[in-house]
Amino acid sequence: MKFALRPYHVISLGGYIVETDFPYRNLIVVNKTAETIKFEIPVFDESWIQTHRDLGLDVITVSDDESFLNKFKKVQAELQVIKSKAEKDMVVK
Amino acid sequence: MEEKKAKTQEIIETEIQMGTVHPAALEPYRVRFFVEDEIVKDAEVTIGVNHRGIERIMEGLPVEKANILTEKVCGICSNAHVWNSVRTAELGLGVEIPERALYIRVIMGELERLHSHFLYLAHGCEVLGHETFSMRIFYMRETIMDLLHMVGGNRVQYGCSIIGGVRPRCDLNEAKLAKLSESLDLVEKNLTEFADRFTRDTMVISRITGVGIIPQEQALKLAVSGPTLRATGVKRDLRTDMFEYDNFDFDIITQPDGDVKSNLLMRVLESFEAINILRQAIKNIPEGKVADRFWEMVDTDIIKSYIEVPRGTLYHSYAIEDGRVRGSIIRTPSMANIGAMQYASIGSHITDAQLCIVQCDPCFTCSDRVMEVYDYESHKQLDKSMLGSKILY
Repeated sequence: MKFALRPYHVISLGGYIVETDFPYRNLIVVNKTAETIKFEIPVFDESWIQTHRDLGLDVITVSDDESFLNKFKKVQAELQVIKSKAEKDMVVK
Repeated sequence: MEEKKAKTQEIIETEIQMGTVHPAALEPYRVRFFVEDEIVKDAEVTIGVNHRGIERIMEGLPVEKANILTEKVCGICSNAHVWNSVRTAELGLGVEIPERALYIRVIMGELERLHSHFLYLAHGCEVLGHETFSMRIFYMRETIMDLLHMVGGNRVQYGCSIIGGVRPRCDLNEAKLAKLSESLDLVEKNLTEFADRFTRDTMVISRITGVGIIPQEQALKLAVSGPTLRATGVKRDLRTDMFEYDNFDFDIITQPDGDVKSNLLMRVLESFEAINILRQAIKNIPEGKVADRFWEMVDTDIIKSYIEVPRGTLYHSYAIEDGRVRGSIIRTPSMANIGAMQYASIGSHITDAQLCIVQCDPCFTCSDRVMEVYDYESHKQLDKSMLGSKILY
């Protein structure tokens, strides 16, 4: 099954992970491109992370003892900068 | 005169796609079937357009508010979400729930199971092209909806569970219990007649037998849960491990084949079992208060709670910090079931593809999630040989 992640969008994959030997509690997935990216769900094992990084997605892992919110907000702020820059470039063109 | 010759016919793969928004689809999703000679060779289901980020919205909300928000995850199993979210907090805070409140939660849970299963059956019959059956089930379902309205004060979102018990407005007096009992008699009578008529209809049975088979091994591999898993012969029901069901005697229904017929009959038989549990609850509901308000809010580590809902296993998890939710995760059963429906449609005739989708009881609004069950002591994933073991709460 595929999940469509919109351009300049960030989601947490916590609810899409199968808990079989998966070392992380949550994954934050960021699409920094101007295109919608489709990726495979559910997440069954750790190899999923590298496969999807290779697709151009930013995958940030969140462990049990880490703050999900801090990481999520940091990513969102970074994404906002990229998005604003992309919008600016569009206007110039 | 030149002789006319028909062109050599070649079988080519055709892509048939539907969605994201389509009048025939109840919810927004995209499905692509790759068809060759009218047989589905491959299928791809894409979701994500309905993603609302409810877990993200829950971050930092007071626990009580976050619990109410979870009810918005799904319009069919709304009670299950608020029940499990509240249960998560209760497990973390060590709140003791009055016995009467547990009974009312079970009553709401089983009524919800009935209305969900009836919706499934009605939808299944509609896709089969049997509108008479479909309308007949919707008529039966209306009785259940009236009961839910009577107990919860609403037809879709009831807001029944709160930390420490249930809302006082959901308490059941003698008149309400009598109405419940009377309505269940009617539902059971109608359901028996329907089941009898349905199973004797040779046209319907021939249409659904051996279609969209999900083998047991594949279902386990995809982490399918709930009735869709039990329809493949796996005797796994989380209600056997839930303390709420300790005082209830019920059977775990299974079906052998994992096809559309098994799935449809599974829901019919489970509905009878739900009525059985409801009767026990009505008969044995204890007296007493329905909520314990004297609990203390403390910080907790990550809490996990699993319950059995109409479509499978529902998982809620979060930590509490200063009375607020941190690191929330909700995993609904539909995700695995959607994976199964993609699998079931491969190899089927294109006319049966829609039936294969419906048989897995998908709920895209639930944002489709999945879980695995572990044995508490050995920390190993449960398989067929370990069924019925303790569940890690």
